[in-house]
Amino acid sequence: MSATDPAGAERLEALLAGEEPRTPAEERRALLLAELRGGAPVAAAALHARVLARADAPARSRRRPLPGGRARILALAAAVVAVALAAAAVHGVVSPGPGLRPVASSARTTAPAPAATAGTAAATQPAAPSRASRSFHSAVGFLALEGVAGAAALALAAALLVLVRERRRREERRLLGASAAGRRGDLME
Amino acid sequence: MTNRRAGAVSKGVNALSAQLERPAALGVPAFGDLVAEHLDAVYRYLVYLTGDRSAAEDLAAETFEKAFRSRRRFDPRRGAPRAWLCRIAHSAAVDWFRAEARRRRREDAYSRDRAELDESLFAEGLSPALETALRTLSPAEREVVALRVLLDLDGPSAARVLGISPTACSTRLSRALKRLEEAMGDVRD
Repeated sequence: MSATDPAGAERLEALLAGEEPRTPAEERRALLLAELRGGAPVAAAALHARVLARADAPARSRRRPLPGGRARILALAAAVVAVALAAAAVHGVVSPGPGLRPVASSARTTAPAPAATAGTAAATQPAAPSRASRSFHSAVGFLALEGVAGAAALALAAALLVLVRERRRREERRLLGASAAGRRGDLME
Repeated sequence: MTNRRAGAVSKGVNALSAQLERPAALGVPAFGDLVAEHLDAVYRYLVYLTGDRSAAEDLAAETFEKAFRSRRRFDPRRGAPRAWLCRIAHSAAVDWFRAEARRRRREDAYSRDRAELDESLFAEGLSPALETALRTLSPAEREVVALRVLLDLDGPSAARVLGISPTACSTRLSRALKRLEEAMGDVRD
């Protein structure tokens, strides 16, 4: 019964489910499983009482329980969005941006146009946008900037989270796998 | 009029609170039933994982306390209560292993393992050969044996507790049993 053999894994599942062994090797394994199951440790009555007593203590407290992980993340995300919107609105009101850009004049100095065309351009120049419109555009621009910064921060946080989780997983594997080696060393001494 | 409305609102809130205090109404078993049904299983799992009965008792109590605090977050659609409790127990045990590793680093002589050699670590009902063989396994190997053989968790649930794939879980179990058989053979010889 190989560890990586699918048929072996299937037979092991069958033995765990209580099927009859077919070979002497399976018989030995079934006996081992039966002995493991028969000699399983049982929690003492004192432990049952202790667990129930500890569970009773917080039940009496009137404190409201904290929201779960998902609810907390949702609340945090909503708060971040609200702060970002408020900051963008404040930025839009405080610095609504310039009126008309002096692009036409600078273009004229670098590449002078014929007199007739320049006159037509001046005549068709659009009216200056209202302060509300400028505030809105400034706020939208600021919001976009916040979005880019937020996305970068999120990507960085996600990468850090992945790194931390991987490190913890590796440490867990080392802890659970290596402890026996120490114990085996003690046994051999 | 206002008083009557406030009274009705307060009655509604109280009814909701009562429903939350009775998780059975939401498809979650009551805490006392959970303890009665699963404490032995969680204790067995922790004894096998830590190889230390007194630590297993403390960790079992801690597991149920954590489970009690976060019982509203339990979602029966995502797995059985036993697997959920085992996941909590696993993380508590990993913290314990971490603390033990720190303690071992602090102390030059880790004498407790040797003191434990004379007494039965896992259960009184096991043969000395199996008891000794179990000590030669790593905690990760004993953990999978406990989950699959003693607690009768199915492959996918056990894999979720261990944070590995069902195939890896099956391979680990197969290897652990093979190593147990080999170690038992060595002890008998």
